[in-house]
Amino acid sequence: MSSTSPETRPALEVVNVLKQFKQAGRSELFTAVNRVNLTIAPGQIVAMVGSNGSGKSTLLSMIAGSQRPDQGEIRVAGVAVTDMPSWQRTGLVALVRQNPEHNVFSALTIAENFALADAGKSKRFNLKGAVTPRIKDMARAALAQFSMGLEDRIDNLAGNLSGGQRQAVSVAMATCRDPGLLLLDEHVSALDPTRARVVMEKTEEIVRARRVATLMVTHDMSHAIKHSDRLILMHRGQITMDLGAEEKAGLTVPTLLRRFEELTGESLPDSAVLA
Amino acid sequence: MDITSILLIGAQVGLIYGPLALGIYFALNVMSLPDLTLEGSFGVGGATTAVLLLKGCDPATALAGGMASGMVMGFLTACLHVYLHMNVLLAGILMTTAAWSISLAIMGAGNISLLSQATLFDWVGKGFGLNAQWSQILVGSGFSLVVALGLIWLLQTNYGMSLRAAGLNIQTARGLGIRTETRQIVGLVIANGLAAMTGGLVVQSQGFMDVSIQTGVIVIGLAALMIGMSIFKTPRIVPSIIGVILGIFIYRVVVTLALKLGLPPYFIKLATAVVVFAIVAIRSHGFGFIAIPGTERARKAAREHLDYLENDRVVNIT
Ligand SMILES: Nc1ncnc2c1ncn2[C@@H]1O[C@H](COP(=O)(O)OP(=O)(O)OP(=O)(O)O)[C@@H](O)[C@H]1O
Ligand SMILES: [Mg+2]
Repeated sequence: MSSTSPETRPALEVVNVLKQFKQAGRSELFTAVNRVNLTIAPGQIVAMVGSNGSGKSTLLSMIAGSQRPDQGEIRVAGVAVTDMPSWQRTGLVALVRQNPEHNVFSALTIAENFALADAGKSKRFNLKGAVTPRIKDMARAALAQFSMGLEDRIDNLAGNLSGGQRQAVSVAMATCRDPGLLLLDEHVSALDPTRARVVMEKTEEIVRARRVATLMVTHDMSHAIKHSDRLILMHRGQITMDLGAEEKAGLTVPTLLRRFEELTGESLPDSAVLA
Repeated sequence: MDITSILLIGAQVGLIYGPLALGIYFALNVMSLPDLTLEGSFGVGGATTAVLLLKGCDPATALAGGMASGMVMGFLTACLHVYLHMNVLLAGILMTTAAWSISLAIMGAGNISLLSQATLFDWVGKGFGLNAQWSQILVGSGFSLVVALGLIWLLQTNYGMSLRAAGLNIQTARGLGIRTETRQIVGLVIANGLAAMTGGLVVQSQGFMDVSIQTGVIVIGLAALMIGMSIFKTPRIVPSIIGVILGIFIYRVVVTLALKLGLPPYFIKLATAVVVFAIVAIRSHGFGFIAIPGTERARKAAREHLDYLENDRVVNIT
């Protein structure tokens, strides 16, 4: 038996990960993620902030598997996934992207989307009917949590939903898959402030209840402070600030913004300040 | 002019093309793979069926052999795409060009006569005591129906859903645990098998195989697809598939009508292209493109046209 049980094994280990991109017309490479190290404990909710282009989405897509790092290693729940195709990681990681179009299939019904998420969990894409009563019940239960009335629309095409409704469906689908690690890339940025708050609160409630480790990117400082156990700041491809629960306690949006400016010499456009 | 006879001829000649049209629907619409290999697979399927009939196989086995040859063509195209990273459109053009030689190699001659061979149509004609026209209608509608029901069933299963997902958004599909490359291979194998099925049926129904039958056949399927997609404008599977079958029938009725009205046969391909142009125009513009200048409708059409130009994308297939 291994000495590390699943409970104590980190949900995510990012070790010295480097990602560079070719730049059109230039010989030197652009470093999007610069030797990042990050460990997330099981069940921990980590908020990640940082200005546009600081490498947050690139890091998330390497963890989810749609991009590969140039150097370094990524382990999810102790499994080395660095060179594993994204479709093999679905039992381990679920990613909700910023763009609602990229999380659900508009041409399929909500129930069909859930059927895919469920079959993908066990990679059992068999020749049995996809939309069963069990799937419908699961979809209804998962959607009812958001109290947006989506549970009555599971036979509608997902394309008929608004962006915010689609993001709620995406979060519901992602958590249904029981991943050890949930990645949220600005998943509420397409929503109006009220809906954003509701979806954010529900998301936290669900991931806490299921004890899913979560790495959540957001530009909303108040969300970052309120709905997390730990707050990290990404700047020019590096993690330049990492606040644990104690340091985070008592942190307000203005102090956070000031610390950001001190660290980076840039001011951070924050939707909470503008709102 | 007799409407019933025109409808009957439409069903007789058209429904045999049902599997091809559904194959095109499957590749283009469900899998989003613009695979022109379907045209080549139609020819290779016809050639294989003809040769197997000559070798003494029974018509059903010969047809199955023809389908298998088309499935191999689809497999090769998919491998060109998945392993050589070749654009599907380009791979399909190359495979269709190659298919011409492959058909000739299979046949060993430019054409084969099957007049002394028993075909599926003879079987059905004898079995049910039907004349040539009715046995063609029965075989054509039988195959179209079985393929349509088969696809409807498949696309509602977990596996079929994963095929649809792979045709909607590859990144999202992979994120849900779907190995999209195998779905593309399976999708093209199925689509090309269906095209080859129609090739084998056409050869059996006309009693000869000529290597030139493949030329332009994809346009027939495209016409059916365009008509079908215009009937029920929905991404849902069942209405789409019914639409495609209706589409192939309507297309053939229109062609039959045109011929009866005195259109010379060599104009059929031109007429087919014009039909497709017209449908695409009506689908995208409504009747706005014939609106009187200065009216609200014309302004709306102009705005939509500008939207199209602003959002146009180039596709580089190299
Ligand atoms: N495919 C690519 N090719 C070239 N450069 C890229 C590519 N993807 C990302 N980059 C660059 O890498 C940097 C990081 O991009 P990334 O999308 O990770 O930023 P981000 O932190 O998610 O920003 P945002 O807050 O705007 O979403 C950017 O400067 C971007 O230009
Ligand atoms: Mg981003």
